[in-house]
Amino acid sequence: MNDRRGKPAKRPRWVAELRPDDLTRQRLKRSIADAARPVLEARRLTWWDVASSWASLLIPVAASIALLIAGLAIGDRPASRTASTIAFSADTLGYEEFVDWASAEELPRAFPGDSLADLDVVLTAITTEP
Amino acid sequence: MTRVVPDTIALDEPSLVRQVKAGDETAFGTLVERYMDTGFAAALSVLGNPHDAEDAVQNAFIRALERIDQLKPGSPFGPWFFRVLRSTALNLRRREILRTHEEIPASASAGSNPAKEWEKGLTRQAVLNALSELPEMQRLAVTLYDLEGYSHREIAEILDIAVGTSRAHVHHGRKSLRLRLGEEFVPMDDEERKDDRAR
Repeated sequence: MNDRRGKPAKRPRWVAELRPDDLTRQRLKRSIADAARPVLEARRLTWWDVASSWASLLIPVAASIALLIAGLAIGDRPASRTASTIAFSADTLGYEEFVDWASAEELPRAFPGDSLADLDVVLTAITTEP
Repeated sequence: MTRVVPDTIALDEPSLVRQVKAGDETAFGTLVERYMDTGFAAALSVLGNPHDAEDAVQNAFIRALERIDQLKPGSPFGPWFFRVLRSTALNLRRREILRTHEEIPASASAGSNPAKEWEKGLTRQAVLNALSELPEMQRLAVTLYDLEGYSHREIAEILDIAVGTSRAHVHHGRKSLRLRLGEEFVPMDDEERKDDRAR
């Protein structure tokens, strides 16, 4: 195994003299763990708080979007349209066009497509005795 | 004693740091395990007292934990931690809150061979005395070089100095230590041999 300089890891003896003994290691490890625990706990809470705050921010936004969509959906219903803008589909009425209610209420013609000249012929035929 | 650091741990550092940021105790424990010994040795080389070195290492780990968001994503923890440790140790010393202890090896009372432990304590004191003769930057550079196996570029980054300066500090520092402690404690490494041959 190599050290960071890529050479065989052989430490000089003077360095070994500075390393802590087992008792010091245990004491040091324990004291670091004790001191670190509340800091780590605070870090965990911080992460939870961040997640919670995001959730608390997103929930009202999501609710607002849902309400907006619902509102649009209700406003888009056919019943709320005016009569003049209703588009009848080809499936139901056989044609698709905007109905002009004013002309729709006129009396139907007796002979669609007939001209005035045709009517005269009929009237003459009725009134003329044989 | 030689403790070799597996490369996989070094490679996993960015992911460990990410976990620590999320408050993972195990990930933090792994980093502590990885840098506690070398951190202690580096602090001891600066402060010259094991009790103060312990305080410095503990404070440095907690400071590093509190400021871990400042570590750039993907960066290794080690060099950054040694920067934190260095400033923590220097602050400790600057504030003059260091106690004056008569150094008694902590393991002397619990060790299986008190005579050997006492001897080790004396040897450590000799090393600390030799280190105390070096200018601070030389002391830190040579400690990081021999302790962690850092390259001159990494040492330059940690100590905020030029790469050439790091090279000079390590060269002179090791030479001084060798004069005081002997070749047995500070053997010449390949780089020094190369420098000697070049001269």
